Amino acid sequence: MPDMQPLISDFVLKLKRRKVEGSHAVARQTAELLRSVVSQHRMGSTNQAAALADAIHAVGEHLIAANPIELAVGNTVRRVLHIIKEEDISFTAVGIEGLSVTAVSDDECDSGNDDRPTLSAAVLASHARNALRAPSLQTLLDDIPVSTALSHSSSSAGDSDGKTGDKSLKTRKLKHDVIAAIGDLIEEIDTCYDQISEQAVEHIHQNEVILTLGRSRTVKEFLYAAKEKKRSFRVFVAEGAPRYQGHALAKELVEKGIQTTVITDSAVFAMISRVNMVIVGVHAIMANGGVIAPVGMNMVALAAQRHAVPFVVVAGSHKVSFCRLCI
Amino acid sequence: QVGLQYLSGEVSGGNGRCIAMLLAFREAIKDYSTPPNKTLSRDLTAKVSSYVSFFIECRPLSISMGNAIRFLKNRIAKLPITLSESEAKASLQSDIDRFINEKIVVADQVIVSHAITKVRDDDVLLTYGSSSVVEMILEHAHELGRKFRVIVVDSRPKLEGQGLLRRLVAKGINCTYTHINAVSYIMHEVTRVFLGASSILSNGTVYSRVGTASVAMVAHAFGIPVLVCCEAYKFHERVQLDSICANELGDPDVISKIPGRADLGDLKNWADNENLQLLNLTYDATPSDYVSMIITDYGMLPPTSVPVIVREYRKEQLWV
Repeated sequence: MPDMQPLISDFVLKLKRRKVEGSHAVARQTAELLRSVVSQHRMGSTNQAAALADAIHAVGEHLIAANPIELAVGNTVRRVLHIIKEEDISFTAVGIEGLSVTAVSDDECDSGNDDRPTLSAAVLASHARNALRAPSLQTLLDDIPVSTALSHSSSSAGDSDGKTGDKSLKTRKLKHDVIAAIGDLIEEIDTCYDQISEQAVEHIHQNEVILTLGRSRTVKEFLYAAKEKKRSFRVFVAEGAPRYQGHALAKELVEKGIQTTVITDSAVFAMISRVNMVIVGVHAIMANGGVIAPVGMNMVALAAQRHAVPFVVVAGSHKVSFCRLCI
Repeated sequence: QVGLQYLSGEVSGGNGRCIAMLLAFREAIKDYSTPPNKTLSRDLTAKVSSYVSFFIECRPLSISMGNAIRFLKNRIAKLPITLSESEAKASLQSDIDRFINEKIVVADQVIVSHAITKVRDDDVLLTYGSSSVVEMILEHAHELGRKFRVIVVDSRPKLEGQGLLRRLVAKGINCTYTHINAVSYIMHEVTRVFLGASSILSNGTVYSRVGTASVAMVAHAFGIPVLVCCEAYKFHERVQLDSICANELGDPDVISKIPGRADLGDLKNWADNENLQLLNLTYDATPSDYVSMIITDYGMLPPTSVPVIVREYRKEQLWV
């Protein structure tokens, strides 16, 4: 895909130079870029899904290497790869009957491989069927690389369908479905704020005192939604040195008529005894339940634990990451 | 004059303010002359009270100052009536001198000698804000040739750690400077935490500069010993459950202005908006379970022994 190269390099540069900031923007632009990659990709006659996955994988590695801290990039790439696998399965599921996906292999985490274990059972079943079937011209002519087990299922599905004419139709349909699914993903990334804010009323009732640190758009929308529904609450905003984004958040909250008090980060422990709930936004959510958040959040979490105050994290699904990092 | 110094923040810190106040009282006593038809003790007590209310207007009293004032009034009340005016004045002045000497200067030396035993080679010590006692400990340890480095944690709006940092670096001590949000990031390198206190309350709660509680909490979470250094005259028999019950409010404008960052002017007109408040707390209360040990001039004790000291201390005051 030579015509994709300048677009990809451009985005990589933006990531490296931190021109794109914030997980939301990053996730969205990554998804859009991958959608363009998919649409530009020339689908071969065989192993389309595998080849497509490889292409996305290669692009994804570049993007992740550009800015390793922005985990949203990796998350989005993995989700696109998963979409491709899913679309492919729904194709092969038509061809392969009576398949129950029971076993899941325990591959180590590596980008791209983690999505393959879900298919291993399907692969095993199709392997079995291939072995039983007498070698025909079709199977011999099909290119079967060892690394991509996917090819077996896709080619066997192609076999069971029979006609070569159907293959080109299938190619277009796969690509079309993948692009549509990525479009859904982009929409999901965009509407995450609304979906999260809808739940605000369930958690914020009357006369609540809420504490937050720094500035998170998700938290802001969350609080706006609660205010819309006429819940009475007041907010303590900790400044969040060294960026002091708490000041900006306080200004925005006040404009909507929410009672706000700005405190310094050192006063968090002092104030938390009078707080009902801590609501924060984070940078990323880890697979083991941990979060990566702006500096100072650990202090707030420990204080909340000490005073048995609920610590609520609000984040869009593009922030959920596969890694299990911890200090 | 001393009152103005308090107001401007030139004199700050429990010991500093107390000494300044007592010296001011000493001067006042020297210049004092009993008006006719009045007894020395009652009139002087009234005068002292008026001075105290002036101080309170400038800045609310710290607990150390409160204790010192109580001591002084006690001494005035105990003056035998037979003493002449000049003798009474001289006796009071020597009392004040003795108080400053015993309870602050010598006490600090005793604390330093105790605490030095806790500083070992290759230690990484963390301290918060600027405490006069902790500074003395670090300087003394450095003079003795111990190899250690110091992490100074600071916070807005007072940024007291910067002064401490300058003084320590001038002595040649290896220092790192960071702000309070980063405490959980650097805590894994730290071996011991030394904190100063404005006062220690009866249930072992440490009442000190806002932010101390957070530092102690994070240290506790990492399993690092927290050593609080405090002279015995600052102990108080009151009990406080959290930081909100009794606290001092600082100037809220200081929060809205961030020196050196003119671009962050979001809160410039905060007073105009009725929904927006800025809260500037001065003190906070650290629960006793975060404190491993308290180092005083009476020795090194666990937080549970504080009521004993308070009791003994009161008794001693009567004998003196």
